[in-house]
Amino acid sequence: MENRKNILNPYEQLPEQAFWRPSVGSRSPFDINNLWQPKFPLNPAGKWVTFGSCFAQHLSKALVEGGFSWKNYERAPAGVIPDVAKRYNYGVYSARTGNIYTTTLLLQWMKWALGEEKMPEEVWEQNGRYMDPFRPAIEPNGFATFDELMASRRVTLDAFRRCMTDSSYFVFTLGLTESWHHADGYEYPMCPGTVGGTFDATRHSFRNMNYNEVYSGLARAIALLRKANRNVKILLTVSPVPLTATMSGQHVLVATMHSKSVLRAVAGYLQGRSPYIDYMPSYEIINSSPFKGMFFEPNMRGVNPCGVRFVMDEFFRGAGLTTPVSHSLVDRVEPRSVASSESEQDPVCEEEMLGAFG
Amino acid sequence: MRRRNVGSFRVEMSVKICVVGNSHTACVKRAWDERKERVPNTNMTFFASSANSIMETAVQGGRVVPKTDSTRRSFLITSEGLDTIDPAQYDHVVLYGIGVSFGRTVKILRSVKEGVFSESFVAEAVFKNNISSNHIYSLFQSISGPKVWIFPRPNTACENLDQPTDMATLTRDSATEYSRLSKVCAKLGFGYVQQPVDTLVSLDRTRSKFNIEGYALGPDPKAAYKQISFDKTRNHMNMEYGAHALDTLFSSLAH
Repeated sequence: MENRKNILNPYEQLPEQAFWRPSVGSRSPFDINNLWQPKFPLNPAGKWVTFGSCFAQHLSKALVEGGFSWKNYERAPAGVIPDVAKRYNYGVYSARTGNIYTTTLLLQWMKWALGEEKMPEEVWEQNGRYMDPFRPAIEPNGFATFDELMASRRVTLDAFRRCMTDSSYFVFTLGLTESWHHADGYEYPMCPGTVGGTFDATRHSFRNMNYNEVYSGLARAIALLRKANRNVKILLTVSPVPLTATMSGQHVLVATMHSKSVLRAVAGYLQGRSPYIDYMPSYEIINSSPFKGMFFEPNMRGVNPCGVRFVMDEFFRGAGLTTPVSHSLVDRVEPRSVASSESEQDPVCEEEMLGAFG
Repeated sequence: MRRRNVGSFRVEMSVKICVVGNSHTACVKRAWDERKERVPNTNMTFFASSANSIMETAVQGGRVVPKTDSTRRSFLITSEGLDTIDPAQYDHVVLYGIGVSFGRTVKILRSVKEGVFSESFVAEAVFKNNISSNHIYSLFQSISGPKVWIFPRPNTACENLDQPTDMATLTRDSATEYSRLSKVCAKLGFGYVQQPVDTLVSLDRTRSKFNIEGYALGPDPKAAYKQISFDKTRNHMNMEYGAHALDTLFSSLAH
């Protein structure tokens, strides 16, 4: 009772991180920390799986480098060199799904993997090769036959199902609200006619999903996941990577901010209402004003290695680990000099191909 | 096109062969120097550069050009005057000794589960099996031109063992693996030349006698073939091996 009397307002008792000036305004950007306190313990020895938009690929790599038990349920055979494995999208995510940009695509993959819905048999034939509309860049030259493509799908669906049922931590990076759909009700990761296939306005339609649709997709996906695996924890992030192109009719910068805001709001809402869902603020770290865009590549779209390391340092710090990825941000970031290191760093991002149409 | 016999093999007349490789080409080059007078209508041009320096190359205007001075000097010396590989000038291009050995390649292929991976992936996984082969094979895949052949680096030689325990089994197994590898290699658009079966003591080892006084391309490009050294690593073979390699190569090209 005595204490209460002495307090002028509730802000007085808040920690430093609740105030802009001491935790942000008066600090070097590199000294901004404690951005995230995970709500559940992050066990490096648990089974970690990662999926989502392009930025999620950085998380896979960083988790491995940080000594976390990142699980790859669809491995390349032993002895295959990393360049070849990556060209065929092995080891990019925990199964060879390719990028899963939207929450509804995630839900779609989960339904297919659990057998709740049948994966459509649509394939794109081009120059005698077969492309998978749901993983259009998964094979650099397409599949040799329809049967080969279907066999590959079965392998991936089985691997993805095991990611759902066996993992301890399911990390998903939300990327886009803009999506392309077939009249039969299923969704493509890329607009037909861009990376492959042929656009048909009578069958293909654009949808810029609103908050409710994004929320519904993710909530239903998480419900399916938890039904398959009661113990799994979900860690959400929002990709800080801007849109390559927009069909919304808005300027791409405005469309980007809109999409990311919706995604961020959905992630925040779900994080706030469940003890087994958390949100890791990689989007804020890369995009917020104190960092002055320094974590972007010169095209102001790709995230540079420095940014990835800053995000992952914060992740590891939040996990109670002593920054296993980089002890010193500046010391560890080396200039890109050779093609091989670029290929190791650069994420596989089909959406970037849209840039060719601009 | 007329053909003639060379030893027990036939080679096409007026055939131009380009051999691109690393230090392992040394024994073949030496064997060719010994033999070329007897094969007047076959021309072999070697472009060799030691170890991974063969990776310091790029495609420009349909030709393979060196990106560093040292690789350029190596090409100039080993080809006796050319610093650029123009595939259009040849009937066959042979990528020699790049990547892992025949035995190791067999092991990689055996580790690939059937029905799980696409045939394109399997081809790349099996043959683009180190950074050099990944680079060079990708380079030649991007150029249209004559047929390209992969001739693997030799298996490591046994220290003392010079005879296989069961030659008939080895011959049969070797043929089986060669057949499988050829089919996979065809998916890259390349032909495959097997390590000569009579140089093998097993699928993954070379007979010891072929490593006695083995040749390797000197690390100094100025010296190139003049400074070929005897090999202590059991990885580089001698001129006798080179002769077997030539026989197998000519036989493969003739088919």
